[in-house]
Amino acid sequence: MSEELVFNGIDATTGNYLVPPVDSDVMAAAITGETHNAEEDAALKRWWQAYADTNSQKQEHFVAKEGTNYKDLASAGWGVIFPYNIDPAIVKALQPLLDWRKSQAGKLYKEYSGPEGYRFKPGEMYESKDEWLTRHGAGPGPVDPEVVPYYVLLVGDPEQIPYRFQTQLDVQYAVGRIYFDKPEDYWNYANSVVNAEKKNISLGKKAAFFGVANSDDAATNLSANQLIKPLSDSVSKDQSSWEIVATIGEGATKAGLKNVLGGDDTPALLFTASHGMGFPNGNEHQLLDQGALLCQDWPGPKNWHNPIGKDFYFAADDLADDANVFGLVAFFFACYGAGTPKMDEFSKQAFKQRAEIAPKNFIARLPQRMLSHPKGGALAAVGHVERAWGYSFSWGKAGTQLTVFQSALKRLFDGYPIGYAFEYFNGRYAELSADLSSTLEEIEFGKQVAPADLAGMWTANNDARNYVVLGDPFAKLMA
Amino acid sequence: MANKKSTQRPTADIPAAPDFQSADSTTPSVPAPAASTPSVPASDVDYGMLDSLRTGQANVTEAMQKFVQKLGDYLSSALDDATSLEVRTYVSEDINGVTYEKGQFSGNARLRAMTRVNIDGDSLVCVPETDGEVDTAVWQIHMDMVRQAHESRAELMKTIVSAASSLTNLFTPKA
Repeated sequence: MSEELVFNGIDATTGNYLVPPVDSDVMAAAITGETHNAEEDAALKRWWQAYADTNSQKQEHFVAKEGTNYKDLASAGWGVIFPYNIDPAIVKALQPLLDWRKSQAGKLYKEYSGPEGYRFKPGEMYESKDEWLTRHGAGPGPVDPEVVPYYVLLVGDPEQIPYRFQTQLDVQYAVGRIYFDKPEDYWNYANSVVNAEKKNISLGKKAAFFGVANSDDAATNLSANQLIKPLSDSVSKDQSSWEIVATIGEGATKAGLKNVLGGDDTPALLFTASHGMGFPNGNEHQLLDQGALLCQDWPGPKNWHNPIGKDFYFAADDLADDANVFGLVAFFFACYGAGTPKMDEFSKQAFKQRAEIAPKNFIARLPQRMLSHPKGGALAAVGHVERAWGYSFSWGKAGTQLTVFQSALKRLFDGYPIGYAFEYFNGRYAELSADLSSTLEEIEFGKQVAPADLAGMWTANNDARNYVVLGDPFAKLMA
Repeated sequence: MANKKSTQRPTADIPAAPDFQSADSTTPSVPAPAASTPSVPASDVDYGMLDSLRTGQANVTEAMQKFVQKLGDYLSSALDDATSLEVRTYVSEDINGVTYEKGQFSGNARLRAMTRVNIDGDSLVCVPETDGEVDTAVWQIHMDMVRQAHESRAELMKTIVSAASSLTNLFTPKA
């Protein structure tokens, strides 16, 4: 049965949705690249035009070999992958962190730089995950930390080391990424991690859940009611020694967010769900504010038809120099919350080409600012590259699906590193990819699949794939 | 929910950053990925288990191709023959003196009647006559032969269609 799909993400310049709502039959046609009749073809074209207008006119998952101790780097290993042409100043700035990890991982510490680093030629050639692993003696399957360490930190811009390399490597390995503008930012991050771990700081057992529910907005009401509320309830029940503070709807304003993101009530773990800000390709605010968190201050799509100003959303420059995010671990469920790809993969199947949605691949400024804060940075932030979808926590007739979120958070609360905790997301991606690949093959041979089912599989697959960790994958909650 | 505790958030003790003399990071020529991949991907190697089968399969395939070629040639020729039907009736007073060469009787044989029917239905008939009268005896024999020839050709056409269908099936992928 056909159903309307509503996407997460708001265009700052118009106040409209980044992706117009679309009928699932039309979405399925976009996925398969086929339309079955003139009406469907026309609907697909209308929807695509609306989407193109929006984006252009204005402008226990067993991942390592048996016996690996995921809390111990001497067992799981830790490695850093630099682009082959890394600026030595960046390596120097990261030295405190590299030395610290080397002391923990011992012989399972690896530094991949120069010829051993990630190889690419801008715009022409980028090593795939398989090519890189093959060069270093690793094939598919469980990680052998003696060959390539389980925890892997990528250091570089997604223009140098693509997001796709990160997400594919992340299926079996625990991968995080950092990229900053200046060596001083790397220095701040490296010392923040080392400080936090060597001093074993305690931020208190406090977690904040922040759920925006804008008026007349299906996406945020869904994430507030089916993600933030039940998730915070289940965590409260499961983690009785923790103080769980849930702010949903009315209090989820920009001021409220400022209080838990750098303010007096900043917890050890912050989990937010909201729209992420989006801008037309090349807009002057895109590189700075794309992925910023739209708060409850936005009156909603029916009550607001103007561009969205900065008083409605929380961006990197809202994190003042005197803010305190030291040791924080954050999860942002929002479009572009972690970053934006240059090319949109959404149009690929139906139109045989990908539209450019940004002048380059880039990391969201807010988590960058958090991690490199001069007063002490956050240790890690998990977010979404590209748009985020409701399929992460809502699965058709099966209803609300929180097991992946609950399991990942439980691991974090149990003291596991974030890279290992979020293997649940990677396992889900692997499962969905296998299912989707199999289904598409069967369709080639004539199998009839309900459009809504196919659309759901495809969106869920992309959604699951695009969660990434920014920061050291061995970072843990400092409670 | 646990009781709210007032916790003084710690701050980081970040030492002053050293002087980062940013090295020249001009992009050197990209080292091409090592050609560590053999010409045959390792995943394609079956460690010899299927080699003999593959040889046999190749032989069968070659024989089948030859057979199909011959069958096709034959059917093509048969179809050409079937596009027209020609019946000739000869008489002879001395059968021993009759010879058959190049599709025709000669020697003591005398052609007495002939019918040619093209596939489009056009017919050409030569009727035997004796003293200005139709030789009904010869004509009756001739017409019997024409009828038999018609029946034979119908069977031949069925065979051709059937064989052609079989040929087509050989090259049609099975669902």
